[in-house]
Amino acid sequence: MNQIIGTSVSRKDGRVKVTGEATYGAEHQIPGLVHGYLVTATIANGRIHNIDTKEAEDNPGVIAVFTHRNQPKIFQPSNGFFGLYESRLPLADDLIHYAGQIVGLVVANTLERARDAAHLVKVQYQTEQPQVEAQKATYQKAPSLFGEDFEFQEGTFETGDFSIASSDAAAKTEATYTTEIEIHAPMEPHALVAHWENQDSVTVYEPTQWVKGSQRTYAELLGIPVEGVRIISPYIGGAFGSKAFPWPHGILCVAAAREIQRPLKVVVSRRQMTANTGHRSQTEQTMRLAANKDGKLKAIEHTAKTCTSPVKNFPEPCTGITPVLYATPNMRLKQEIAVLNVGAPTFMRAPGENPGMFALESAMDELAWELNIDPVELRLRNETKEHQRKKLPFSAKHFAECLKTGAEKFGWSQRQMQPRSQKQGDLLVGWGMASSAFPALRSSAEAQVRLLPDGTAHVLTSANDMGTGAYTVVAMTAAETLGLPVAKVKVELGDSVLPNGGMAGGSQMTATLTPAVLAACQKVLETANAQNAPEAFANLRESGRAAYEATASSAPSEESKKFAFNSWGAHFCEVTVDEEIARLRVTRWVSVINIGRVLNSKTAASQIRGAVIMGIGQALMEECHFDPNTGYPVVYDLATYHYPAHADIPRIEVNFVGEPDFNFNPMGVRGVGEIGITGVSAAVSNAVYHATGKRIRSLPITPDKLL
Amino acid sequence: MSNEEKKLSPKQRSRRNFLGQSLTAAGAAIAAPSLLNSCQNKTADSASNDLVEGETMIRLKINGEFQKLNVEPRVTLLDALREQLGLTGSKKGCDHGQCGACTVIIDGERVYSCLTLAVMQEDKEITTIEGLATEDNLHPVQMAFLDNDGFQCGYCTPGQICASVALLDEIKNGSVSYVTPDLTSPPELASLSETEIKERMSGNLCRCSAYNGIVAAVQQAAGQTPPSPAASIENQQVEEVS
Amino acid sequence: MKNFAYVRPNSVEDAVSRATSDRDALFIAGGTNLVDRLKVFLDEPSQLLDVSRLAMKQIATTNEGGLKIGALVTNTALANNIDVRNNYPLLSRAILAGASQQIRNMATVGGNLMQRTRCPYYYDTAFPCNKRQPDTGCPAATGINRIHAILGSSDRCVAVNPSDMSVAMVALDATLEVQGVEGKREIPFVDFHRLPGNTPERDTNLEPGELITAVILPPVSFAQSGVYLKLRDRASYAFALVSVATALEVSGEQIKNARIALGGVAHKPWRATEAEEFLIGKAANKSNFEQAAEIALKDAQALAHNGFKIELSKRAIRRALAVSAQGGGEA
Repeated sequence: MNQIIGTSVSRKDGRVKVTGEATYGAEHQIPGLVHGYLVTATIANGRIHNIDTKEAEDNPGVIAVFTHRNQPKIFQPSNGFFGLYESRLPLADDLIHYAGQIVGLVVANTLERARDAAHLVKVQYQTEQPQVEAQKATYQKAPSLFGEDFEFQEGTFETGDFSIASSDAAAKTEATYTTEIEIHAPMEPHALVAHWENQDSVTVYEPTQWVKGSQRTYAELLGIPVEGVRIISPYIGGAFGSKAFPWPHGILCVAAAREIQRPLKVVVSRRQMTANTGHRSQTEQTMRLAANKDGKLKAIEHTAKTCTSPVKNFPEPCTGITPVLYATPNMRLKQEIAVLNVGAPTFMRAPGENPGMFALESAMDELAWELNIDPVELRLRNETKEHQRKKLPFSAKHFAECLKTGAEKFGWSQRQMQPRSQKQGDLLVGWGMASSAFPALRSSAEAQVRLLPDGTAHVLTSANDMGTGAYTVVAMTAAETLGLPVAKVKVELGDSVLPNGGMAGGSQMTATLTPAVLAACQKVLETANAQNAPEAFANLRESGRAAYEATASSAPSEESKKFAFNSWGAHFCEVTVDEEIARLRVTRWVSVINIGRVLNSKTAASQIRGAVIMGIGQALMEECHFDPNTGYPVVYDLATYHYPAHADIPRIEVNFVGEPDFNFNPMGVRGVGEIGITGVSAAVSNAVYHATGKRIRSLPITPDKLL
Repeated sequence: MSNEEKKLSPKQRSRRNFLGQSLTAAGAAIAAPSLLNSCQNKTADSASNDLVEGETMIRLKINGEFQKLNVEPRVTLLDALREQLGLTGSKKGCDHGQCGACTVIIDGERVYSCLTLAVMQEDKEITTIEGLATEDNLHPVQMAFLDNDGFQCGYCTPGQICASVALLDEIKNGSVSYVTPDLTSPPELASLSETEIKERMSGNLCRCSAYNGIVAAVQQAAGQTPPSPAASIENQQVEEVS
Repeated sequence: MKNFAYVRPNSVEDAVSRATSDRDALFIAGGTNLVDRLKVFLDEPSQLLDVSRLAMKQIATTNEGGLKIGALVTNTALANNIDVRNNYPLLSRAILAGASQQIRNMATVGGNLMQRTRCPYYYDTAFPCNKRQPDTGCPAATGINRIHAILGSSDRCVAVNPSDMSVAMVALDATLEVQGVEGKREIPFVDFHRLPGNTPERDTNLEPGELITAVILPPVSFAQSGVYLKLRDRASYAFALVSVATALEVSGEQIKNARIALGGVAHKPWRATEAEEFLIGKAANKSNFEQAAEIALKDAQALAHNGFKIELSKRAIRRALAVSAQGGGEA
C-alpha cells in the first residue's frame, strides 16, 4: 500500500483557489438576482420610536423595505434558539439591544441602489443609557457551558481545600489578567444568496461550518420540511467560529427572498459585521497559584469574568482547560458573567482555552520566576496523567515531549535566567514559552465513496473546508485506503444533499470525518470484492456496472469513553523590544504540537501557523472598543481593528511529535485547528517580561503599554 | 471541449466536468450543485442599448478582451467585475482599501479595485486573477502559491497573487520600500529579503495567516529557494490504516 | 453612495471653472480616500470631476535646484524618483511608510495632501461630528480617544491629520501651487492645513474651486540627513500613532540647522519650530535632543486615552534626531 498519510500534499482545492475559480457564498450567479442591504441600529439600547421608509421606497430600483412592522414570515425555533447565534429573530420587535442590530432590510435591483436606499431609511429612537463597559458591569454566576462539558456547570469546580493548601506554600502568586474583545474578521464577509425555486423549496448559498445544522435550522425557521432547504457551501472564506449557525442577516435574507419571490443576495458590510456577527468577549481573570519549593503545585484558583449580550447568554469558558494542564490537589474554578449592550459573543478559535491559557500560562511563568525554576522544568514537574475533573487518563499524551523537543529546537538552554539580560545591539531580546492544549472532540459522520470506470474515486459528504485542508485530507485518506494516487480521488463537500459530514467546529472535523471516509472506502472495496481500487476498477469494467458505491458512517466507540482526549503543545518565541520607542517585534517562533497522527504535514503546519499568528495578533494588537456614551463601536473595520500583516510575522517553525491516537478513532488523528492559538499570547507576554522586566497582564501589548 | 463548454467560465467548466462525470457514472442519485447555477454568466457585452437614467456605457479592457457595460458612475471597478461581469475572482473583503483582497493589476501596477470607479478605467489594461493562467498552465506565481501552501480559505488569495505578480515587476524596475536600508540601492530578485517581501506584501491581509507560505511563494517565484512549507514530524510511527 | 455625474474636464482651467460654478462638485484623482468616503456617505457630491488624466505628472528640477512635483504624480512615482531618493530621502521614506503599495500606486500627491482625518467618530454618520456637520458636537473628546490629537486641538475637534507625506513636506518647507478661476497662487505648506479652532469642517486654506497643481520643494542642503520614523500598532499598513520627520545640519560639533515635524498628533502636520530654534548652535547630543523633544511637546494636552502619545512623541523625536545626527537613514 502506498503511504500517503503523513506526507506533504498540496491542496486539492488549490487550483480553483489560485485561479479565482472557487465560488464563495455571494458569488453564485443566479438570473434575476436582487440585492439586499441591511439597515442597522445606531443606538445600543432603547427602542424604535418611528421608522420612516418612504424616501427609501421611492428611490429608483427599490423593490421592498422590511422593518419590524412588516417582518417577513419567520417561525419560532422549537429548540430554544440552540442552533442560532442570537436568541432573537431578526426584526422581531421595536427593541434595540445593541448598536449594529438589524432594524431593516432594503431590497433593490442593484447593490448601489440598495445601499443608497438603506441610508435613506430614517429611524427615530427612544434611547436608554447603554452599558458597554465591562469594568462597570454587574456580574453573576455564569450559566452552564457548551459542548462536551455540559456537566461542567457554570464553569465551577472545586477539589481539596484551597485555604489550607495555600497557607504554607513556598511560593504564591496572585495576579489579574485581562483581554479585550476580539473579532473573527474572516476575509470573506458574511454573505449569502437565497433562491426559492417554489414556496416549499429554497437553495441557500452561504458559507457555513455546519451544512446540515444550517439546513435544519433554516427549515424550522421557514416552516418547511428539512428536504426543502438545500445549503450549498463548497468554499468558505474563513470563519474561525463565526459561521457555524445562521445569523439574523441570513434568516432575514432567506425569509425576505420568499416574500419578494426573487433570488436575493445579502452581503453584510465589513463595518456592520464587526458589530453583529460575533466576537470573543473581553475577559478578566484572576489566577492564584501556590507551590512547594520544588515547584510542585499545591493549589490553583482560577476565576474568570466574561461578558455577554442581551440577545445571547454565552460565557467565554476560560476555566475549562485548567484541570487539564497541571496536577494539583487543591483547585478552585469559578466563572462569572455580565450582560452588556453588545452583539452576541460566540465561539472564536479556542473559545475559553485561549484566554484561559493566557492567564494560566502567564501565571505559571510568574511562578517560575518566583521560584527561580526554569519555566519548562516547572511545567514538566506538574504534568498530570489524568483529566482532574473527569478523573480519566489521557490517551496518547506526549506533552512532555512537546516541551523538551521545543526547548531543544529553540535552543532554550542558552537562555539567560534574568530579565533584561539578552541584547542584540540596542534592542532588548526576550525569550518566552508557554504550553498549548486543546480538547480533542469527535462526533459521528457519514461519507459516500464511488469508484468509477475512468479509474477515479469520488468521495461525497456534506462536510466543509474553510481553509482547514479538509478536501485534501479526505482525498489522502481515500487514496491511501484505496491504493490510489491522490490525484485520482475527487472530493465533493459542502452540499446538504450529501451524506452528513458533521461540523467544522471544535477542531473536530478531521477526527470525525476521516474515520467515516476510511470506513466507506473499506466498504466499497468489499462491495467490489477487491483488495484495492485498481482491482476494483478491473472488476468494475468486467462487470459492466456504472460504479461501485458505498456509504458508511463512523462514531466514537464505547471503548473511547475510558479516556480523556486532548491535544498538547509548547510554544517558544523570541521578541525584540526597542525600549526607547516602544517597538516590539516577534522575531522567532518554534511550536511543537502533539495531535495524534498527522495526516498532511503541509496543511497541518499551515493550521498551526495560522493559529499562532492569530494568537500573536491577540497578544500585540487586536481589540474592539465601543463609545462609552452611546455604545456604538469605534473600532469597526480592518483599518481600526488591526490584525497582523505580513510585516508583523516571523517564520513559524512547526514540529509534530507523538503517536497515532487509536483510542480516539481508527485514523489515530486529533484535531489541529485550534490548539495552535492556545498559549501563544502568554508566550509573547512571557518573552516581553524576559526582555524588559515588565510584566504586562493586559492584552494587547500595544506601544502605550511598553512605555 | 464542446462549443457549449467553451462559452462557460473556467469555474463553471471545472465543476461541470467533475459532477458531470459522477452523474453519468453513478446515476442521478444526487443532483449536482452546478446544474442549479448553470445560468449563463453575464460575461462579454453586458451592456444593452437601453441605458437607464444615471448610467453610462463604458468599455473596459479586461484580461485582453474588451467588455462593454452600462454602469452608474458610482459603481466601483470591483463591483463591476463581480456583479456585472461575473468575474468573481477579485474578492470583496472590506470594500474600503483595508485588506487587499480586491487587488488587480492596471497598466502593470497593482491597485485596489474597490477604491476606484469603473468609469475611470476606460482605455486601461486591467488584469485580474482570471487573466493570469493560460488554458493549460498556471502562472509561476500561482504555482508557487500551490507549492508553498500560500493560502488556506482562499479568499485573499487572488489579491495576494496579483500583488505578488506586480511585486516581482516592481523589483525588476528597481523600486524601494520603507525597509530598504539604502534608498539609492534597491534590492534585486536574487537578494530580495524576507523583510522586504513582508513589507511590500503588507497591503494584503490574510486572516488564515498563510503569511509564511505567501512569502515562500514570492521567494520561489523570485528564483530563490524557500524553506519547506511542511512541518517536521518526529517519532511518529506511521502505521498502516487497518 | 449617492449617484453623481462623472465628468473628465479637459484642462486644469476647465476643472477649476466647473468646480467653481458647482460647489457640490468634487475633484477625484487616485480616489483612495474619496471613494472610501463616498461609500459611507461622508460626501455626497453632485458631480465628480476626474482630473486624473490631466497633465500634472512631471517631476522637474527648479531653477533654484529644488523640485517641482506635479499634483498627479503618484505616491509610488514620487517615492521612487531618483532625485527624491538622493536628495530628499525623508520624503521617500515618509511616503513609503504610508498605506500599502496598492494605495501608493493609486494615490496622488495632490490627493494625499487633501486626505481627511480617520477619526472613527468622523468616519461614521451614526455619530454627530463638528467636522462633518458644524455645531453637532465632538463625541471623540469624551469618548475613546486613544489616537486623537495632543497638540493644537480645540474643544470642537480633536481629530488628527493622517498623511505621512505631509509631515515630510512641512519639514522640507515645501510650497503648494494651486489654481483657481482667478489664476495661480502659492501657499507655503506650513500654512496649508489648518488647526480646528471653531471651524473644524475646514481642513485646509484652499478656497472653493481651487485645485492643487504642484508642490515645490526648495533645495535643502542637509536633507540627506532626513529621517522618517513612524510608530504604530501594526508593523505596516497602519496609520501612525506618532510619526516624526527630522533633518539636521551639523558642522563640527554644532547644529547649524534643524527640522522637526510630527505626524499623528494634530489636526495638521506639526512643525516644531521652537524646538528647531533651540537646537541651532547647540551640540548634537542626547541631552540637547531630549530638551528639544520637551520643548516640542511642552504645550501638549492629553485626553482620557492618548496621554501616552506625548511621551511617545518625545522619544520618537529623540531617536529620529539621533539618527539624523549620524547622517540619516532607517530609524
